[in-house]
Amino acid sequence: MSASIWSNLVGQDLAITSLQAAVADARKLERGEPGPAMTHAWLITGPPGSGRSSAATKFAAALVCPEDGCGRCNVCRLAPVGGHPDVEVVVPEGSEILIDIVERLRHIAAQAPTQSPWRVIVVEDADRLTDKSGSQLLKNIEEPTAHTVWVLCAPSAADVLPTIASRTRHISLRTPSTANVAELLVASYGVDPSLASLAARASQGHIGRARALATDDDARIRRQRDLRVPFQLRDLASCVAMAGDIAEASKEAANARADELDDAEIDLLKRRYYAEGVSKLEKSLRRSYETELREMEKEQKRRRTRMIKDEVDRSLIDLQSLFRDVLILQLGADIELINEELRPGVQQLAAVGTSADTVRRLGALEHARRAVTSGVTVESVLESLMVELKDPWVRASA
Amino acid sequence: MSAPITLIIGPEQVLRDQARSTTLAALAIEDRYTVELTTESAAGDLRAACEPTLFGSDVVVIVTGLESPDDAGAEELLAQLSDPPDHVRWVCIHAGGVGGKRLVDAVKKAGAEVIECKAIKKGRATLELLTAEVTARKRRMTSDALAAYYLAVGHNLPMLLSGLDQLLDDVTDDPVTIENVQEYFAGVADVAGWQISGHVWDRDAVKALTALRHSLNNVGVGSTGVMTVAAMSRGLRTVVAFGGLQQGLSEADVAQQLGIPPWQVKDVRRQWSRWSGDQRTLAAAIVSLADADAWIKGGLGGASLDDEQKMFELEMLVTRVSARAN
Ligand SMILES: [Zn+2]
Repeated sequence: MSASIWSNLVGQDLAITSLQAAVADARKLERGEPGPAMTHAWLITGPPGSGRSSAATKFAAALVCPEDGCGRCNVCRLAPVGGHPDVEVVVPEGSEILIDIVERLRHIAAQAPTQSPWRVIVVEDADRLTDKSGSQLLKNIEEPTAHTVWVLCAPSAADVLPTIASRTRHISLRTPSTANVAELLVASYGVDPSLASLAARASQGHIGRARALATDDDARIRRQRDLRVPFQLRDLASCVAMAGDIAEASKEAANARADELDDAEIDLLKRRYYAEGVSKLEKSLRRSYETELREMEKEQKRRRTRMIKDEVDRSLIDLQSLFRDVLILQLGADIELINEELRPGVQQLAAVGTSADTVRRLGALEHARRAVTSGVTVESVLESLMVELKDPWVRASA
Repeated sequence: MSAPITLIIGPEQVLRDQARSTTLAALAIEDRYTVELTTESAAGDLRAACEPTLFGSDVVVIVTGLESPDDAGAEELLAQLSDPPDHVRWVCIHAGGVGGKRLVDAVKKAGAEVIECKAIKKGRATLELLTAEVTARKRRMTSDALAAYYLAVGHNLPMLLSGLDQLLDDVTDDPVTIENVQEYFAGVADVAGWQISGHVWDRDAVKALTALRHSLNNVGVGSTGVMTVAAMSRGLRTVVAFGGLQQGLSEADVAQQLGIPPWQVKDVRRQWSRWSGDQRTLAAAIVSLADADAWIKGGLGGASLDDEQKMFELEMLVTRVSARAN
């Protein structure tokens, strides 16, 4: 494949072909030739973990990369995380996308791109648009400017307003199989096949997660620690302490990643202002540099918060996989365990409770995952979860 | 005149920021350059910042990140310090730790005035910092007033310092007494939240509800809700952690392990005594509180609640948690 930014979007060959064709036709449009494979509004759908926001942001990067998404340059690295001036990535914080965010996007959409021929606006979780903000966004889409591209993401087309669905071109993704993911890990990252299949299984089709588990010792260690959590909830104090530990570990992991991205972004900004050989900016230029820097730092702070939540969510997914296995043993189903390597521990948990307990624990985990994304204090969510994992019926008396 | 070099060193950021602004204010030079010594461009930035100015005017060069310098940047700084340009005033900032020792030595050797910014621990050290702040403002505050202020704001150094500044501006009595502090904070949600939380974990439903009503009337449901839930969560964490401590620790040890000021220990001890026999209710309270944290911020169905309903839900929460089942 020539454009390697797509290389770790596994099992999505059809989608990739369409998006690559769109990028190629975008270049034709830039030259004033017809380019029917490109259009100004897209809707990328797929189940959680299939990589719909990854596909959307890669598409955005490919449009603004001078080499159609080489996957190697700074643009390809930073554009997917909103670190390129012509790419805006909106990740809703709360449970709804509010009207003022859409209003801000309208302003952004109206501006000409500065570094590339396109201005790309990616709206992750477009299913969180309200009726009001959705129809406002629709107005923006219906009045296209030549250079603006909208890329919306949602679990399915039915999750967005019908009017939005009918005015966007659809790309649908599917959950990659465990085998697909394992193959990718072996082929692209040189991971040992047995480790690759373990990581693929544990990640349940989440590519990024699988890669982290296969290549990053810290991620593996954290997962091992997450899976030991249910064995360590002895009393209330240990529940609260455990919640604090998970929150702390998530912050640490997120901060490490965020620091790296922040530095790269600031470096890119510097390079834009400081031409080769220039080491001191004129006053007026310095002022605008500092304004941009402050803006960027605000955005970086928001991203950091989001990354912490993502890390917490990972731990919750690990725990979900564990209790899913417990339930399978309790029901006597003949299905492969996600955490096959931990079978003795899973058996132990299965023996001490009933399947009704496990169902309630899984419910508590699902509830916690929703709470984390809706902006609740992470510590509080985790404390509540730990208490419920210890005593799955406590909510009834709450 | 101030020293041509100032070294601001230590892990406490709020102190470093404070030292930085007082130093800059004392220097009163408008032309300032900030060089981040950790970046690859540091050496070039530093050279550029030290270049002679057109009209020979003085400049301040603020060098940050001495604790983890870029190699070339470090060499450049050493070179500049060994032959310092006359027009440059230096402010070097080191965030603590063992890194960049060679630079620290060189800066000190160049005659730097050193401002230490040691980490401020919770409790006594923080109170001492606040006391020093009051003294620096040529004011006085009784110790119980200061303690009440600290408890009300919580352990947040930037907020404590800026809030104290505001308090000393607004309250003209000298010394400032605990009555002044209470009056000053009357109606401020943060203090109200702390009081409500205290009553809740004391299982005094009547007082808790009265304090909640009072706060709702004074500052409305928006801030009352957020502050009360946050304060209750903090209070709960402390009470539960106390329950997990081994028996027979001294008051100082308990304070240290829980990260609270010593005078709070007897409150926490009393609160735990009211819950220790009823831990399942306490566990249920943890669940209710996390849910409340969600809906008060508009998540998990909270967006559909109007103020009236939120007020009702808050009253229910406070009553249900603090009431004794038997
Ligand atoms: Zn590229």
